[in-house]
Amino acid sequence: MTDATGYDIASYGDMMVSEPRMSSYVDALRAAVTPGCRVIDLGCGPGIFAFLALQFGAGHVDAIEPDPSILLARDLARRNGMADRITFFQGLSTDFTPAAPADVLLSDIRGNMPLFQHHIPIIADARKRLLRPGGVQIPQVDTIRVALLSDPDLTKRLHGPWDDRFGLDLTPAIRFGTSSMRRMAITADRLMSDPADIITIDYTTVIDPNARGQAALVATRASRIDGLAIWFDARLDAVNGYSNAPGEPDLVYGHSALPLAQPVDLAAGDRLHVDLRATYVDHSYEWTWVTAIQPADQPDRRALFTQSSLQSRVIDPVALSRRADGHVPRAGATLAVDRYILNLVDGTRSQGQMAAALRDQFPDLGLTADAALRRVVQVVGRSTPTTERAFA
Amino acid sequence: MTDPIMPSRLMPSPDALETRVGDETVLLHLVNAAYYGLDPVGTLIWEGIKSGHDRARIRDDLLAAYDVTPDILTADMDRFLADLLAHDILVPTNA
Repeated sequence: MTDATGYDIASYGDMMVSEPRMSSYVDALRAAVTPGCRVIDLGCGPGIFAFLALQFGAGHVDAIEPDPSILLARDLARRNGMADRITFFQGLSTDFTPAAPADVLLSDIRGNMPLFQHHIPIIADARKRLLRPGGVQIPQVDTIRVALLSDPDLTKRLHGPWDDRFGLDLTPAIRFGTSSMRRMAITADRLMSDPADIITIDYTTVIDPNARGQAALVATRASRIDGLAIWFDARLDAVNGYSNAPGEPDLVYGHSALPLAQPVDLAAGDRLHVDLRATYVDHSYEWTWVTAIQPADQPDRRALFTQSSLQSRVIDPVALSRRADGHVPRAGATLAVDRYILNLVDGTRSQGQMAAALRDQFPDLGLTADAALRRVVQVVGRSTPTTERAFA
Repeated sequence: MTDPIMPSRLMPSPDALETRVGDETVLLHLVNAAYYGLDPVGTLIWEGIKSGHDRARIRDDLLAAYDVTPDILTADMDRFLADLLAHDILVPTNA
């Protein structure tokens, strides 16, 4: 079972042995910690960096994690005699106020890309509120890089299921596959250009969660291009960092590909221009990549494709309209039940008492005791604080 | 009668993306970071704008397709276009 962050404990274990990621973080943390300093371990998981910070001489650590894995961190802290020097906070850092600003802020709450969920807003808030002016951040800079990718299997996988099968026209489905960033293993021999930096994220200054960059990728040899390989390189401090580039040791973040809508044949020296945008919407990212081709011997570029992760999903406009500011909700059959349940929340009744009252009030629903309790838990759980807690 | 302050010709903002399934469309404005859903009629208007048609041509096409009076259709269409303009999904063009 995975948890709220999508990681299970085994995944955290994978991160701890992912090299050179782990040793780079350890070395950067060791260099940043001064005797008695305060450290924030943001997204602490089972707490390894909190424990190491104390080993390196920190006086106190605030370990923050919305996920229940923080309970394991607390247990491990006790086991190692460190619990009295760590404040554990189960919740989002945006809801946390430390006893004192930190000297060091450490985090790795990326996904396979640094532009992932609410990573950037979380870091921007933590830098402003939780870290003292001039404090040390780990990591400092991530750089997203791209290169031309030749991988016929990618195109085959995305087009094959929908191409001319069974005498049916299924081709409108192809764009759903070619419009998403695909996580996949990429070997260096599949890269048909030198890598290029396309988006740089400086965690010491970043505020805007949106990002955009351009790159011109020059084919090093004639090849059919199926997409763009994309990954990020991390700089943790002045000397420590690591690369996720194909050909480097495989790390937990993996590689990804941005497919082209159709494969494109390039001659050596041809350029493929890409304009990449990451737009933060509803705590997630829409990726948009616009490509153009420029033959080696010509000054002008020709537009190729405009692709977006928006086009990878079937979005129901009716469901979307229900989220609009002009939408007027109408009372459905369940509203009276939900409203009744919420009105029972008074700080004294137990959920079992509420379930019993629900069955008495709405006998026609025919709820069993278990079903009534589940309904109460479901409704109350959305409306009452449950996860934020600080404990030592 | 058409809205006198509504530009006669509009175009999709370069910051607007679309995805279409069947006869319905979802738009995303990359700067506003907001989604917009278009019903089948809205999708027809959107397609007309993408094709470079002016408002009069789009209105005539809709009148041919739907049983509606010109005044009602024009008012509804202009309200729809004004909404997309207000959200920067559409921008005026001088072409």
